Amino acid sequence: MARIPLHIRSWFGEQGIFLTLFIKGVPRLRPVSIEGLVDTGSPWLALSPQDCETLNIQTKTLSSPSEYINVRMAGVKFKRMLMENVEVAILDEKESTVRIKMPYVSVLVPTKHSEEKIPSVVGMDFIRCGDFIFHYNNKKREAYFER
Amino acid sequence: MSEKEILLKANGNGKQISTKWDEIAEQYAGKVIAVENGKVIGDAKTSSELIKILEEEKKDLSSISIISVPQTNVAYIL
Repeated sequence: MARIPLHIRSWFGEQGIFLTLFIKGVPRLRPVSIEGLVDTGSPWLALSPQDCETLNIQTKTLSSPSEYINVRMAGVKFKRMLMENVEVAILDEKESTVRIKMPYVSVLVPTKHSEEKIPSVVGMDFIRCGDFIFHYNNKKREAYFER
Repeated sequence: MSEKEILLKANGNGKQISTKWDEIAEQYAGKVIAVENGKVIGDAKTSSELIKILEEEKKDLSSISIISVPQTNVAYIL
C-alpha cells in the first residue's frame, strides 16, 4: 500500500492541504515541480495561470473541451483548455515515485488580466485516476493519499 | 536532475515552508516566490518575471519550487 504525504499549511485562518507534483508526457514542458491545493470541490486537476507560466505551457497548443469550457474559480472567470495524455508523478512516504496517467489535465486560461494568485487545484479526477483514498485528520494536522 | 530528485527537492521545500507559512504569506502577499532548500531566494510579481531573474542568475530551476502567495486582503473560496 502506498501512502502519499500531503503538506498542510495555514490557509486563510484554516488548514490548506497541498500536493507536490511533477507533470510529464507533454513536449517542451519546463522540468519543474508544482504544488496543487487538494480541493474535493473541484471536478478536475486544474493548473493555474501562474503554474502554466512556470511549466512553460503553450496554451495555443492545447485542445478545447467539448463541455465545461467556461470556469469560475474564486470569482475569476477562466476558459478551460485541455492538456492531453499526461502523466503525473508524485512521491510516496518511502520516496518511491507513484505515476498517475490521466487522459487530460485542465488548464485555466484567464479571460482578462487578473492580479489574483490562484493556486492550481488537485480535484476529483486526479483522486479517481490515481485510485486514491483521501485521509485528513484536522486534530493531528495530517493528510495523505493512500492506495 | 532526475524526476525523482526534482520531487524530493520540491517535497522538502514544501514541507519546510509549510512550517513558516504565516510569516511567508505576510511578507510576500500577492507575489510569486522561489524556494530553494526551504528558503525563499527570490520573488517577483509573476512566474515569468521570477523565472527570468532565476535564469539570469543561472539558477538550476529543477531544484527550486515556485509558489504563488495569495494576497492578504481577500480569501479564496474555490
